[in-house]
Amino acid sequence: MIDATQQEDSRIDGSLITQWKAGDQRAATAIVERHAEALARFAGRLGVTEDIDELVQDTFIRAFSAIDSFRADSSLRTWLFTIERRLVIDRRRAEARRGHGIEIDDMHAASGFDALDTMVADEAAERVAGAMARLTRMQREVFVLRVQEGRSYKDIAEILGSTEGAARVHYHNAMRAVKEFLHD
Amino acid sequence: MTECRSPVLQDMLPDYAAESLDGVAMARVRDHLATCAACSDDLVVLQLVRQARPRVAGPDIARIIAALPAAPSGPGIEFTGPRLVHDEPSTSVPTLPPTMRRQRAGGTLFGMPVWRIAATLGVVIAGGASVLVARRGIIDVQRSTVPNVMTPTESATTVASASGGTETLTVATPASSVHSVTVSYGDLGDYSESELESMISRLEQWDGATNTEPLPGVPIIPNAGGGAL
Repeated sequence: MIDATQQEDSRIDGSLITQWKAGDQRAATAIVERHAEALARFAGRLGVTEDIDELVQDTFIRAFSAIDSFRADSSLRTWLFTIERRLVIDRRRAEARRGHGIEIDDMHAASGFDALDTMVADEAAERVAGAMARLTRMQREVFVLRVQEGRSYKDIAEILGSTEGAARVHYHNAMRAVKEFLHD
Repeated sequence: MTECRSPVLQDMLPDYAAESLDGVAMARVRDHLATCAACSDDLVVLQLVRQARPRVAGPDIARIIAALPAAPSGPGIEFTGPRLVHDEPSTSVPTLPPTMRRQRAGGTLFGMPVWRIAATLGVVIAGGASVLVARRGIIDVQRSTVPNVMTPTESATTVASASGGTETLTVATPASSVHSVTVSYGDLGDYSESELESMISRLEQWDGATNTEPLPGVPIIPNAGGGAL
């Protein structure tokens, strides 16, 4: 699939990373400005309702601290999403250990998604949010990454630690479920 | 509603909705939408979902940047700064930044690499221990376990030879009256007076003794010819 935007994004990000490695701290500022909002949005889609700023900050710190492990065969945003998602899972596990008992099973719907109800403005958006709340966690993450963040199936598989085929199946199941809900 | 017969183009719908395709691909999808009701229906849903993206407050960019590590080649090679806000143990990103790796490499003590100091200490300790062992005569071997100096008591044994005849062999046997003698790999100071006298007297009785002084610590077994084995 030809995706001109992602190719251009990858080229710009690669150039910024090279500049940062050469000692240009302004390149780090540019990278943060390019991806911080998408990371915050994705955190909300993952069900994070508190300390989103800290989560985004931790994501960037981890990313810049391990920039040498970034492979150019995926986009920087995909890599950042992967790191952020793992941080969210780590947080949930830590909270579960402390007895908060938050569900971390990917196959279950996330209760935290209800928080989105306060973020959407109009009735149509509320209906979409309602439809997506009925999806399993994996279906919703795939659907959000594919539709709202424009990631390819390859990227989604990398972010979720899955396969392209599985991501494709989750997307089509999610699409069917959302359509059925909206048409009811 | 009929299913879409072009799954490749159907897969491109989210990118079409995001307007992230190049011109050629956008035109292909647009042409397909004109004839495919299923994909047209999907596109409406996709556009709704995109419009329903959550509106989150923009993160504090300045705060994030202030917490970032310094650029590798920039001022400050030391990893001085950022610690995660929620520093949970994690396997998320296994590698360390170059600046942190540099800190781990090559510890020194008194201006020398630690491994060199450890090797030097090892040699000194091993050498000192071996000197102590030699000095104290720890390695004592009793007569019962090592062939010792024997008396020239001999016995003749007749055995059958391979050629069918008989042959007389002379075999040395230890004298029962000889007391056990401590053999040491130390010097002569390790022996008592009586032990030295006993050894000298036996040497004098040894008719095969050479002009060369035998080493006291080396066990010698005399045979019929009197030469040392």
